[in-house]
Amino acid sequence: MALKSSADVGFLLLGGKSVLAAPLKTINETRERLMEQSDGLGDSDDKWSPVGVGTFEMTQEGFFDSGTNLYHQALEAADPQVLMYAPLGNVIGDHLTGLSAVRTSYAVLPARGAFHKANATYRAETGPEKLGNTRITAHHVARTTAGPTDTASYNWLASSANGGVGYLGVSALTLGGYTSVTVAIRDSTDDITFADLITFTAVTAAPTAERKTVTGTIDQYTLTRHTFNGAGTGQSITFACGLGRN
Amino acid sequence: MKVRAIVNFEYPASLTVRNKIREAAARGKRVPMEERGRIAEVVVGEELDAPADLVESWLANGYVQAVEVGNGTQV
Repeated sequence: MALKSSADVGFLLLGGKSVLAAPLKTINETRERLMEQSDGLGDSDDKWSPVGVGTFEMTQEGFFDSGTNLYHQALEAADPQVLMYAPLGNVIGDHLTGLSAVRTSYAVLPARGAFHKANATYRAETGPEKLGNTRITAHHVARTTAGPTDTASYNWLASSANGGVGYLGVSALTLGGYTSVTVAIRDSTDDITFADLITFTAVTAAPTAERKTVTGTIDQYTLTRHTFNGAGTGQSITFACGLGRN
Repeated sequence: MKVRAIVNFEYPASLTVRNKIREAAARGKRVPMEERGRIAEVVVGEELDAPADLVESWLANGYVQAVEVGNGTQV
């Protein structure tokens, strides 16, 4: 048995904003397959058939925090934003929920004798990919090397043929004189020869996030590379990356 | 074999490291990125002599195409 607890939640990035520290108290992620009752006259029992449509909804409950790039600012955004959620840990290969999400409701809840609370609900504009097929390829941590620096590689055990989606969430950035940072997901058939699979738009400010699709074969091994472009000192970038295979 | 790169790619320059990675993979283990030594970079259009242990997979995966065939005929 491998039980998980609240301590295992790795990160939640909303448009790159890291909001776990609000702190959040509850995240409720629901994936549902729509069914329609399909029994008819003469049937003695009801029957339900899958319509072929899935729905996704995520609700969050936490403390109201109006700090810069924190919970309130993340929830206030009404436009679709990239949501990256690591429910089981912040380690390369752990499950990731990634999607382009629209915040559908946002409730600020002051109450007598208590801290303000803030709750929100998200629905999917695009995604998420299947939970078991979406993994962290770069865990959420500050990286200070100018690069090119590769993360450890992840072994998917087999290649896949139907493309996928890459996620990048950048929660903090100090360029230190550099002009930008390029982050790429790379793949390999043998863990030896790696080529670029998805190259994200060069990052010049944080918080930011991007969701990028790729078609065709994704090889068995993947890793994430970051490279500071230009020259400088004292650089740092805090980001997480994920890959969902179709 | 002389080959020409079709995509940008990289690989550990040391055969010893590559064999170490293969041996580790056979045991279900990984060699950390920081222990892979110098990484050779190949850019699109570059011509190079492919390492014998890698050329087959490079050709099979579409990283490169052969420049010379047998008697040296250019293709």
